Amino acid sequence: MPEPEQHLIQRAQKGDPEAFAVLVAEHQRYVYNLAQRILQNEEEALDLAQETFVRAWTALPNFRGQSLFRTWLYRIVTNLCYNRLPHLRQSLTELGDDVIAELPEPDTAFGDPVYGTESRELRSYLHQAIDHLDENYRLLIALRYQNELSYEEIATMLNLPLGTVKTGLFRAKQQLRRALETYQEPLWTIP
Amino acid sequence: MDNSLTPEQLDLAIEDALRTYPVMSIPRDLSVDVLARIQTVRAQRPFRLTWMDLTLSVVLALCMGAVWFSIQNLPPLVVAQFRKESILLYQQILVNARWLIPMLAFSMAGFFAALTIPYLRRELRR
Repeated sequence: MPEPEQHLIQRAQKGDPEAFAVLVAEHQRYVYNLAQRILQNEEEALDLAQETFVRAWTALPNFRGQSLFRTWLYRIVTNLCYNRLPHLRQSLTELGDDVIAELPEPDTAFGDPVYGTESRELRSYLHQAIDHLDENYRLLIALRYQNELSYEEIATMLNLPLGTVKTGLFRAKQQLRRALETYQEPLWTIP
Repeated sequence: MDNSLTPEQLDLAIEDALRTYPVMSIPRDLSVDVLARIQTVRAQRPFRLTWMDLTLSVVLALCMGAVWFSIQNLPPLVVAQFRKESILLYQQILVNARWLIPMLAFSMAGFFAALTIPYLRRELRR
């Protein structure tokens, strides 16, 4: 039976590197993914992920458990990304918080059999479109949909108003929608 | 026949793409590299003020305050007597045991140096 994360954190806080290695093994994929989605460079992402864990080890005695360990790690990733991409923080704050309504988040996946192969192509096209979004949108999307943080957690983590987070995600979806509208013209409309 | 997606389907497609946006697999295990690097990094020692520290500080401060207050309020005759006795004692030490004062100084230095031994041993073991 695996040791609970809380115990591993306590052991690592006392200076046990083996406990910390288990934590690294457990979280490295999501930490790397977040870095990669923002930086879009494998080597830089690996370097940043490594740096994240070294900083986490150094600051671990100050970790009080007020947030989840993974959220704390993502905050370190984001701060390191701010250092590498100085305009990222500014582009996030400049999003504003003018969006009141949000795009609906339906529970059902886009798996209508009518679209079959086309839906897979469409999904793949949209994944590419996500990759081409600005890094502030990619960061918000990765935190929301891959790291599965709530809007509130993202807002606290990035030190942004809740409205800004919602606005950012809303605008990201709007951009994807525009990309989709241009995509479906030649392929989805049969004259 | 028009196969274009309705606005609801567009939203569904976007939501689906966001939810299925794949988490990238890590090209190599970072544990080994991280462990190698943290061997050279000393973990910060957090600043922690315990209740014991606080209680000791308060007791010490109260004692020092009490001593100071007592000295300030002693009758002048008692203060003079006290000064006379201490000068006599000092003179007696200088005459009969000149070795006592340097020995006391060295003993105190040795005592304070010994207090650091457990901390130094712990640091060396890290």
